[in-house]
Amino acid sequence: MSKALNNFEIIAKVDNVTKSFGEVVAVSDASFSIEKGKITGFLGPNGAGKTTSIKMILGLIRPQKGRISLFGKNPFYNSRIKQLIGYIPEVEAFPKWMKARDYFYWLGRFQLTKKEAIQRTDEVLEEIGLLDVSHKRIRKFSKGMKQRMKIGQSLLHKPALIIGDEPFNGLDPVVRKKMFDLFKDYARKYNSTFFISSHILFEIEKISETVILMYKGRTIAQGSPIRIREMIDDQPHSIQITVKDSKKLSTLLINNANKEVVSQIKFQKDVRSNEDQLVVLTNEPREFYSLVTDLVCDHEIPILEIKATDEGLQNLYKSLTIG
Amino acid sequence: MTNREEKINSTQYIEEIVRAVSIKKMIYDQQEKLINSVIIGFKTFLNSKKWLIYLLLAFMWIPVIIIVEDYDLQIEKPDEAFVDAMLDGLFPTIFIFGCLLLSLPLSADEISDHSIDLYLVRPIKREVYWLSRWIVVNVVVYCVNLIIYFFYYIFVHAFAEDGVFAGIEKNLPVFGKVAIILLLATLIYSGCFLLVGMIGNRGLLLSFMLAIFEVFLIDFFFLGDSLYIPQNNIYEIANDLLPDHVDFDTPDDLELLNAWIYVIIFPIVVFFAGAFYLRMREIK
Repeated sequence: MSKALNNFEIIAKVDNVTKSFGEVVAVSDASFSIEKGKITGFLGPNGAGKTTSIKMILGLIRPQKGRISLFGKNPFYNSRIKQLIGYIPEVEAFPKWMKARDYFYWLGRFQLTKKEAIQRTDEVLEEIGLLDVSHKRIRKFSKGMKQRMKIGQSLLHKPALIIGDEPFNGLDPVVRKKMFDLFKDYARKYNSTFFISSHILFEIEKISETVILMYKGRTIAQGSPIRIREMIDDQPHSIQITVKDSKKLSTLLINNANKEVVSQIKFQKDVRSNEDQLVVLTNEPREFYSLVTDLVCDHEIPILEIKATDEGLQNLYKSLTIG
Repeated sequence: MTNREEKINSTQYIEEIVRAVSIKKMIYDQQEKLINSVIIGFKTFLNSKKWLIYLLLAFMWIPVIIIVEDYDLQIEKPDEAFVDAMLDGLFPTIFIFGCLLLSLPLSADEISDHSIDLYLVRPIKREVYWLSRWIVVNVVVYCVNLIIYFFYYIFVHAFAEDGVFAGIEKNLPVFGKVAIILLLATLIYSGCFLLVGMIGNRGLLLSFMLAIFEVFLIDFFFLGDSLYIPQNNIYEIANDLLPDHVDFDTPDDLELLNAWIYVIIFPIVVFFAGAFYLRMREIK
């Protein structure tokens, strides 16, 4: 065992791991590590192999090839190290009958004494803002509340490593910010390490100190969120605008922007509302947003929605994997 | 920051957890987790309401017995009526489906609602988790059936020809022997259905097929004379325990001692098979 592992500076290590389900290869020769005391983001599109990797780190499934060590042990066969981990599953994992307070108390009892479990149940319910509804059954909660319950149960025993599989799904921006702060608080107060998966860069770059990129089952890059953002900014950005008068806006864009700001425009219909949409490809997103703001104000064009698609990230994945 | 908070997640704290511990300490540690898991198991079971469906099904058997046996609510020998209704009526039919129904909240349901994921990422050994589920299923199947059987015992004595509740005390040993047979059947079938249910969604289908096979298809596949069919061994023991009440057809070469060995070994084999299966099972 390396010295680093003895000091637990590297909490989890994934070495050339492969896992397939039938003919589908979920994870292919992936390697990365989780460093102690850091909040690590695990970024990749849906189906990239993030959940499979997480389940292997947790010891819920076994790799076919390669090796995984968690606190220097094989997580599939060692239950004791699970005293040190908290897990936020992607899916809803609630016994249908449980009330919020029972859920925390009984899960907490696997790691805590009765007194500690009672105390921590109240503390965590307070931290996630659900103390007032703790007597209600979880199945009656909204999606956002259920998500907070999933986060809360992972924090009960102040674990050394918290692994979250898309933990911010379904949270509104205010609660999401609160959860970011809560994670940072745990990292500071209890020296907890976080490993957070997401397919949204925005989430990851807000909270992480380091980011692991995964695509089609392979880890393709690891670095600081700033560096990842720079790499994405180098890729063409795709911006989708839902607008009442798409022809007028497209004409204005073509006449007022150079090739870097607007390199391509596509017309399409929104599948739900049947409204006109423009999909603009730009290499200068900041200048583009500034230009669009000026144009819609000066010419009074009603914009229904404007959003960046995931294509910047997708292009980065492609450029990193294709080379 | 308190001392405990300063210590938590320090290298020393992590080492304390990761370091190998004595078997005695490990057993004590897992004992606590077992108790916690058993309590959760009982709560899960009670809240599942599947036991209510089973109770309803079992009590629906009463009018069937009255009509088929033509008791006319004047039961000449309540002890015989009780044994007949239980061992020849409820046991080979509803009991089997009851084991299936009552084991579901702790097997297939926990897999489908993903609560098993949360239990198995906690510091409980998979074998201990399996043991907790095995204990709960056996206890609940036995207790729920004992309640049903006791209700029937009261029911047949309430309509005894010799007067209301005539012979209810005298016949208690008969009830006791039926309870022993019920215990043996519980140990065999509930563990079996728990294990099959642990496969997940496919397990539910398999469990159902197993129940159908056990209840309806054994004779169809010419297995009625097999020494390895649980029912035959249970009936052999029932013939011995209640010679004045039952006379089941059992295979000629089935000996009583072998039947006892079978009903004791079978649940042990199923238990260890389940522990091994869960040790190796991947929670996808």
